[in-house]
Amino acid sequence: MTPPDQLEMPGGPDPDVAAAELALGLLEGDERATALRRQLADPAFAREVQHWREHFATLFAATPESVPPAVLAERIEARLDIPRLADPVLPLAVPARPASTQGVWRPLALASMLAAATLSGVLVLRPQVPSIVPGGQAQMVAAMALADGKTAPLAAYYDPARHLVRMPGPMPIPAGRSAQLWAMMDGTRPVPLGLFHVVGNTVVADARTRQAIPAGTMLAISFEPEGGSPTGRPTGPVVASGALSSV
Amino acid sequence: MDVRSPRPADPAARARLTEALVATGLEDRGAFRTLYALTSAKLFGVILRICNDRQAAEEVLSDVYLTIWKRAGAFEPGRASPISWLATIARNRAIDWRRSAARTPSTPLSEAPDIADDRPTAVDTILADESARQLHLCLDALDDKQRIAIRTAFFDGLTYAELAEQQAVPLGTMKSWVRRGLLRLKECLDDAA
Repeated sequence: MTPPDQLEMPGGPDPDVAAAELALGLLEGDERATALRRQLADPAFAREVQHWREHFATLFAATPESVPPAVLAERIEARLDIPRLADPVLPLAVPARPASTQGVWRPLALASMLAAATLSGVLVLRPQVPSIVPGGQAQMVAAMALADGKTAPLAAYYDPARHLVRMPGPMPIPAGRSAQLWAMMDGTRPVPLGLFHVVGNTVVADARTRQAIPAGTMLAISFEPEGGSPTGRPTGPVVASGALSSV
Repeated sequence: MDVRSPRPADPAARARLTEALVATGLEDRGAFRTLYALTSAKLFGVILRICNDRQAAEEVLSDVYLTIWKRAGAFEPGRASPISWLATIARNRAIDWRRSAARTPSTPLSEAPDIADDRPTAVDTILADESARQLHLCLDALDDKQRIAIRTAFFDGLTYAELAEQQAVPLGTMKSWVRRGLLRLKECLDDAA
């Protein structure tokens, strides 16, 4: 593997190639996370990724067809009836704390949060029992890499049945800001999800979308004005991001 | 290296597929069946090549069509070619499976037929428009090792690390080949635009 200090950084000399690399799926780990963060934060870069996808998609003409077993069509159709939105969202009885007690971006709080999350971060980076989950209803996890690129990722757990994402540990949010959750649906489109609220010793965000969030989807957290992004796209810094995997 | 000459696009086939996809977005079961009949062999081919495991490929295909059923409403007919949109979902989902399953890297593709042996089909003629011709020409202008690596990454869903292992070259060398190749590809496509 390439040592981290040799990784191509955003804003480096080959931005066009990074978009193509992302479209082709060549990147892994930190390089992929970096490129996905750019895709989320930079609309021009996101458009470029989309153009590359469209170019490469013309190659599908050369992929030989292969007829799937006839029984598969029936099995798929039987699964169409599974309701799109399973359960009502878990009521978030605990209200968000007032901004003044949420704290600011204190180094000490951040350090303790990262220390607590290190073990789980390491574990989720190497899923042991991967599988395809029928209906996508099983819990999924994302290793949320922090934007500073140095500290260990945090674990975010997505519960598709309850439409919730929760992250253990406190989240230091700057005063007067809200931490908002985003999902990159179809790999390109940031869909605004809920704001993080403190529930016990974790933070929880409503992840209800019109469609289920599939494995592989990139989640991201940005700091937004209180109440969430006014534009429907991230306006503040993306502080953490990571792709969902089945566990 | 195979570089097929693309056939003329078939607007009628594309219109039929677009119609089926848009109606699927409105939860029309009949349209979904039509869509499946028109595209499942192509999508299964895409997935099977990347997964290289029939059973997994069947699961991924099911998953892909359920995704299509839920997401067809997001398809924008004016912006994207319907088969490109569908095949890209299939490719991405197959790659997700391949990577989440932590595959032993670069197993020989025993299950998948050779790319060069295929025959034109109705779905393919939708793809083969002017931009396809241009991409073929530009890929053709690359060095063999660049073109092979880029095509393999696309068709087999391989990462840099897997490509390097398959071609038995250092990772840095593979990245350098592919990055230079992609840069030349971009220049060639920009010149043509």
